[in-house]
Amino acid sequence: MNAVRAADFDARLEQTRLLWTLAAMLVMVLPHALHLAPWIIFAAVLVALWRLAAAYRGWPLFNRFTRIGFGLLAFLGVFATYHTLNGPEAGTALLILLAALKLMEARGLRDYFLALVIALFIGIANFLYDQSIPLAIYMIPAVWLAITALLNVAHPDASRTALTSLKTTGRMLLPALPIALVLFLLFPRIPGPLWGVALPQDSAITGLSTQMSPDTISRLAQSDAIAFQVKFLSPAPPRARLYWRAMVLHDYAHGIWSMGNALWPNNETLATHGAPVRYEMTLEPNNLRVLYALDLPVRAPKNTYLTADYELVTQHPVTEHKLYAVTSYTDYSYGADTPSWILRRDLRLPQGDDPRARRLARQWRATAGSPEQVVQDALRMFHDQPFVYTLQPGVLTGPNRIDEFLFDTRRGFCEHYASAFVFLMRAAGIPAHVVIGYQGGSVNPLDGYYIVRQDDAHAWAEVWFTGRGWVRVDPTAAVDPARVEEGLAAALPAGEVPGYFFRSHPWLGNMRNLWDAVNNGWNQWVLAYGPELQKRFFAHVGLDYGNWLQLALVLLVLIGGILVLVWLVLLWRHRVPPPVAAVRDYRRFCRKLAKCGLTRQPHEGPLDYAKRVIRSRPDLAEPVHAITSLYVELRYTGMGSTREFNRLVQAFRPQQ
Amino acid sequence: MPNDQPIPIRELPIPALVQKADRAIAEASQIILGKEVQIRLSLACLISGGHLLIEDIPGVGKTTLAQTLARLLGLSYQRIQFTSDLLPADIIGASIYERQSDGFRFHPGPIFAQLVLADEVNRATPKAQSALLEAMEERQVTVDGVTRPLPQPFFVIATQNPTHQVGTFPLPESQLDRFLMRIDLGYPGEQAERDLLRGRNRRELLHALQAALNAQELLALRAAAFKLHVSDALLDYLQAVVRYTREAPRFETGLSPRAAIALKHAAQAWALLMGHTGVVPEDLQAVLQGVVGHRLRLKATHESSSSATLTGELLEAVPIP
Repeated sequence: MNAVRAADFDARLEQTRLLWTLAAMLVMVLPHALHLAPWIIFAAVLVALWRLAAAYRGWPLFNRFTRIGFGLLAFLGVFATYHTLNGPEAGTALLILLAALKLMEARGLRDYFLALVIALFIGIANFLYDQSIPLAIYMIPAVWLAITALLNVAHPDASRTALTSLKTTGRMLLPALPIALVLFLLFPRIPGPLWGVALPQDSAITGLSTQMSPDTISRLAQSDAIAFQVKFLSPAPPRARLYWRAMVLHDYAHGIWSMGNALWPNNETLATHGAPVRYEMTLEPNNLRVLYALDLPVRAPKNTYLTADYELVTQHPVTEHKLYAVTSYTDYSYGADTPSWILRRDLRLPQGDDPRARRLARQWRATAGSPEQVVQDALRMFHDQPFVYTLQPGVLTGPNRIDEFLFDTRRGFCEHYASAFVFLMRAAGIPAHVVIGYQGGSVNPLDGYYIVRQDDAHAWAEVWFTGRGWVRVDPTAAVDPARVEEGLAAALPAGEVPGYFFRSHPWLGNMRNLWDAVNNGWNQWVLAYGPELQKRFFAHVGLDYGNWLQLALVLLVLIGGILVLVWLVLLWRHRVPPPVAAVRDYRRFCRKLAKCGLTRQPHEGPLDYAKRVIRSRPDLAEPVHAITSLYVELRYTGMGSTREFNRLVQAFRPQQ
Repeated sequence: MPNDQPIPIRELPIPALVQKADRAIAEASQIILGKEVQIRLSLACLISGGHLLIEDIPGVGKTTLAQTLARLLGLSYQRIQFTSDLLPADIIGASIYERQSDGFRFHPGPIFAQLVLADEVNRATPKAQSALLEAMEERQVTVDGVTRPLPQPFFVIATQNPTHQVGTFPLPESQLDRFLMRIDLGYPGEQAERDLLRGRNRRELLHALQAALNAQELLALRAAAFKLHVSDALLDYLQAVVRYTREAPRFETGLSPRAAIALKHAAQAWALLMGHTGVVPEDLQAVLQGVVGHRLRLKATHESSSSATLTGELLEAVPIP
């Protein structure tokens, strides 16, 4: 009889543990469903359901050999799907499958504990794929639930509801928050992306690439994803000067512009005018080895270098948010002393194609007195002839794309104009190349940051003049000045404007501003917090970066301080309640008598005390009796008047 | 009226009963001289419905006290002298075959009385002891599969000699726990002993004694005692005392929750007899020795001290909140 009941009890215990563990697993695995192969999630859910049935229907568990077989199958399946057992994706897939298999044999405290620890690890793995605010917000209750599961697995208690156990763990987790914050800020940061794991580098990132084909930029114009955000430390330049330089494209073949190979070290002369512009950039991951900067950066930030084309090149592709400070001059010319053998690179054209364009260029060259005049001729053509700035230029496929564009369709986006312009210049014997990057940006009124989105992507040209060097020329501005001065939306025909929805609903636009500001803060203060920012933070609070002994001491003191604080709070919460009014007054009465040499013993009851007092001081009999009987009534019978008692004690003045 | 409501005793006919109880105590004091506190404690024990254990050396008036109480309270009374050959059937009765009716008839034992004096209870074997103690706990006896309730009220006053005397079976702790109080009488004082020596024969006095209360009134007193207001302040004190016994290193075991409840009931009964309208710390202190003395055990490593000094220390160690 007893044995049956005990077994019943054990089964219920097991069910409670299983349910909590499954719940924790579910919330931790759920975000992985977005990027893992569906069969993995499906298999895990199947195992979980089977385990539930085993717990509630009493199905037998599998024996050891079957379980080993399942384990091998999991390895094989993951290998077949990802062709590796290594790397974040195969790793998480394997982790999830093995966690499910662990549940298959779970029996007793130890197994569930292990399963929960794996669940927590699966939860952390979510951040390998996504470090955005929504996931972070999702993970807070998820971790809370997992910890609650841990509590209920370790100390199952039928009388405790889910809500009370959540409250308990909430109270337990709360003191961990400041410690987590201290560790986040102070614990030495490892350079490079999170845990040095390379993210799957697929086309998921929208942005510039190292090449420009006729639809590269116009495709980007469909995206309102943020490319980077800028905080100007000196006055912001006017919008028409906000050219954000990314890459210089030298080589042209079959309609495609590319960077070419050589990256010359930068030792060129630079002529600048006006005040420097200082600013901080928060770059979204672009998967390129290039940082963007306002045209033209003069000094490279740490761990990057400037090429001869004034590109900021990094050692590794930017795969996480990057925060860096740059100084630029918006009024410049550079490379006046570039030797002609280098310039020859920017004169090369593929043989034979586009005869009409070549002819036009040669004609300009013949009539114009100077290269500057040729540039003016070209820009005038773009301005005077009926060229249309549009996102839907139509597809040009023939070998003579430039000719087609210049003389037939005359419809194009900035890449078409930049491409055709540079072609014409080269044909006229003037060195020229294409620069791609972004132009413009909008201020978020909430935090003053400039936000540059993918639809601000732009392509323009640089032309070399003897004596002056490289000078920026934007043919798009000649076609449609509004693009440069007011942005894409103003320049395009009404029906083509992307992001139409946000623009037509002002409150939605405000919401987007708010979201951008929040995201920006998150990027700047959380995701971009690497060794550099940490060093800056240390300098700000007066710590010595690199002095690990000092850091260890500071960590010890801070965490110790937090623990002491928590302890004090607990002490205060469990303090003895202050005495009620009657007790206070009675203690006063006792003190008055103590002055007469009649100290009450701590264990002496009020009646006994009164008796003793009256015995040695019969003169006080009347007031002592009155006070004592009223006190006893107040304190032990729940009757009597506190005010009357207070009055009696006030009036009590025994002669010493 | 709900239970937790404080009952001002003056508005009930209870004061008259308390006066009667006072008179009973005064009369008992005429017989057992100089032992007023013990008599009052015994009465408080009976009022709160508990059984009483009187422990002392022979000849100090244990049996006389029990007999006096039985008389004064007007209860039906039986005495069982415990000896080493006492059998359970001698206590609770037995079914005996009767030829006339051709069947078994139950002959109730001496346990079927409102007040049972179990004299020298530790001289009987554990078997006989447990028969008594079970009846005390259950307030009913089961013979041949028939359960028979004991009369209401049902009190046991047991006397025992100190355990180190020859020919005793000490009561185990679990059974000691069934007694609400244990008191000892001790030698009479100088004056009391002189009066005892000069005075009349105790037995004659006892026979002349009239009942001061009856069973009904005793039950009314018990009801009144249990309704007596126990303030939070007093419960704080009670819990502090109990906590001290559990936390102080010198005690082998602390007081059980049952002991705490016993303490509260006894203090209520004492407060009632003292005419208090609520239980005050002094009431608790008065009954503490009786209720707690036989339930506390010192750790073996500590020097032995009498239960009275032990309770005294306990009292002094716990301040009244």
